[in-house]
Amino acid sequence: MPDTTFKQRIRDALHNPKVTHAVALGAHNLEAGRARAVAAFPQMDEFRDRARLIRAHTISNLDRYLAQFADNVEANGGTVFWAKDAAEAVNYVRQLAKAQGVQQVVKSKSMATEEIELNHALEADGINVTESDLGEFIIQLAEEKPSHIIAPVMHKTRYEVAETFHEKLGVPYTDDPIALNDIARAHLRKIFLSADMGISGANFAVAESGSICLVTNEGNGRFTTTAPRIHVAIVGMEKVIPTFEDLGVLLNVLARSATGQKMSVYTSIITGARRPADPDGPEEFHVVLLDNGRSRALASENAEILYCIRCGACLNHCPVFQAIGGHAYGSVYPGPIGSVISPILWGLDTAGEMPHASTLCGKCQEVCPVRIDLPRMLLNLRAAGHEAGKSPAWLNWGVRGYRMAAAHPTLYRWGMKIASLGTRLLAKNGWVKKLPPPLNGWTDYREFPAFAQKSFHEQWKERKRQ
Amino acid sequence: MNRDDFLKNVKSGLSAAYFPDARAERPTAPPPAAFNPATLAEQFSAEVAALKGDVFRADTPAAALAKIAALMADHGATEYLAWADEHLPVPNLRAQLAGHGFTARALTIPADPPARRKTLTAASDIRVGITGALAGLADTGTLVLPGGAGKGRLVSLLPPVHIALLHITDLYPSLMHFIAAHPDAARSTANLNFISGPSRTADIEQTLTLGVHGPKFVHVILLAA
Repeated sequence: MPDTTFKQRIRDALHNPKVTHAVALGAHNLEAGRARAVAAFPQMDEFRDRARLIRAHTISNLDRYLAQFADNVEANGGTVFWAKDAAEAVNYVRQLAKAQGVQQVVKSKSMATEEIELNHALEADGINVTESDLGEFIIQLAEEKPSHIIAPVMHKTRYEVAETFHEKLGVPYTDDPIALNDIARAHLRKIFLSADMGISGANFAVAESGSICLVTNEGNGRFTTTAPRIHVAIVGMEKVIPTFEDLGVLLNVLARSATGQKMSVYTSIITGARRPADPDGPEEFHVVLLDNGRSRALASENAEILYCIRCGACLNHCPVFQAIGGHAYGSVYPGPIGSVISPILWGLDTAGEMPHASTLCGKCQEVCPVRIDLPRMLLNLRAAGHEAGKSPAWLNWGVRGYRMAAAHPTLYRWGMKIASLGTRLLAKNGWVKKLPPPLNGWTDYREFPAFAQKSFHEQWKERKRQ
Repeated sequence: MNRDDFLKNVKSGLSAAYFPDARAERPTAPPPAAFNPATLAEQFSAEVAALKGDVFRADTPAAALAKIAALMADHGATEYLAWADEHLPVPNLRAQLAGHGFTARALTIPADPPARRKTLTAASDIRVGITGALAGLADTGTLVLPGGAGKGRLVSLLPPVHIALLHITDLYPSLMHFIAAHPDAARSTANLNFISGPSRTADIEQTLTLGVHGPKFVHVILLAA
């Protein structure tokens, strides 16, 4: 987590026209993509219902399916490591890399590896780590974190990418996306063909066969899991699903929700390392199953967040995300999904403000492929923060005052008369933009219309008399 | 952490948690409706074209072979990678293409790291890869390519041009239809790929670019029954 405050980062984002423009463009394109895909797929709602049932059944039986998945990975000659937390996961990979004399790692995009900060740890051991997804490659060069869970470099304009390539790769400046792509392709090809270890995530883990599924578009995922002799997959434990048929249902809703594609270009199902007589493929297959706080979600009223299939639709449609972009949130998981999962993984002290960065408009739930009730959980986490004593003084006093007034009708009526007079005095052109302390906390970020001269009760009484 | 403790952690959480819409049994759905593959060719072709690939209908293996030779010439290629002859629906492909002056290169990756690197690098200038396909999915323009002996993954990944040979009788309306007919397709190979068009990215300002790391050209030759 960065050491600026959330409010500072929000202000910085809102005052940075490059970021706001790039994010709005990116998010609107993905919104439009999803809308097109859903319009062209009449069974979308039916598949979303099925997808939700599959995820709910799986997460509520997670121990059973994890055991089945691990048994099948091992039956196919793969190795499973059970990582309680980020440190255990990172150390497993470090030790494996050391034992195998790994000097160059190539990575395909994995939010789980961002979560556990794997790259830094390997680099500290003197290992070269190269991200191969184009967006991740760019942010790696720029020494930044991704700003969106599926479009890591959504916050950058082509000019910024051009600068980064020119500065960090020493190539002549060009801001033509196709030329930039060719530069990246040439650079990464050499890495693919010479890396000792490929590290991926997994979009899904299929229990009945011990398979992982990678949903990609560029081909870097396939290279990462084919060319190097060792393949390590870092898999959040909630990624598991029961069968190949269930995978089919989820694949029907994932790409459509994420980018508007019917299928991603490459959907790869990997079941173990290369088999005897296979002409290519890795010699070893390792799966690191990651808890890192997910079991805390399980034991709570917020277990539903584990149904998430990481499509990013909630980010793309969120008015707050569209305004501030991913970096302002301060977590590798931003937007609505991030605002629930980050406090769970990293605690309310670190991420407790994130659930407040929402208008609770509910758009996220409307577009979620597994219909997760994000607003409910955002409110749960706000309540948890309040109970843990994290609410600001002005809110505590305001709520206390309102509770007292609401429980005493006479007090309430007089309070309304004062509020009516007071707001009409304070208002400019009918809008109240500044309240005196301790209520200024509210108007620092919001305005509201002045109260009417007569309350509804008063008007009702007058009309009844007429 | 060891497996037992990890799973104990998970299990102990389950009793306390709230799982909306969780059913005790794994949810299933009725199998998809029956279909006639021959009726799917048009939709499949349209979807592949929308993805910037293309589909050529070949009435005979000879027509397919002629098309392959033409594509090789179009792309200025004299060498190619290919699945083993016995996995391709055009009989004796290698011998026939040799007759046109085209040479097959082999690509078996050794386990040993320096040899591995050398072999991969040596193959990286080959322009064309020719594969078969287990199936085609009409509603998404998707090719289903299994791995295994004689079916190298790199053939459809390393070269910039991918030529895929598919029987019209192996077309399915959708992914769910394919899975219902081939429930063991995933577990029966170390690598099962669903390929929908040329490789692409829109990471830079949402501008679409093809042929990022995987092939830039996908040519499907659809063979009549």
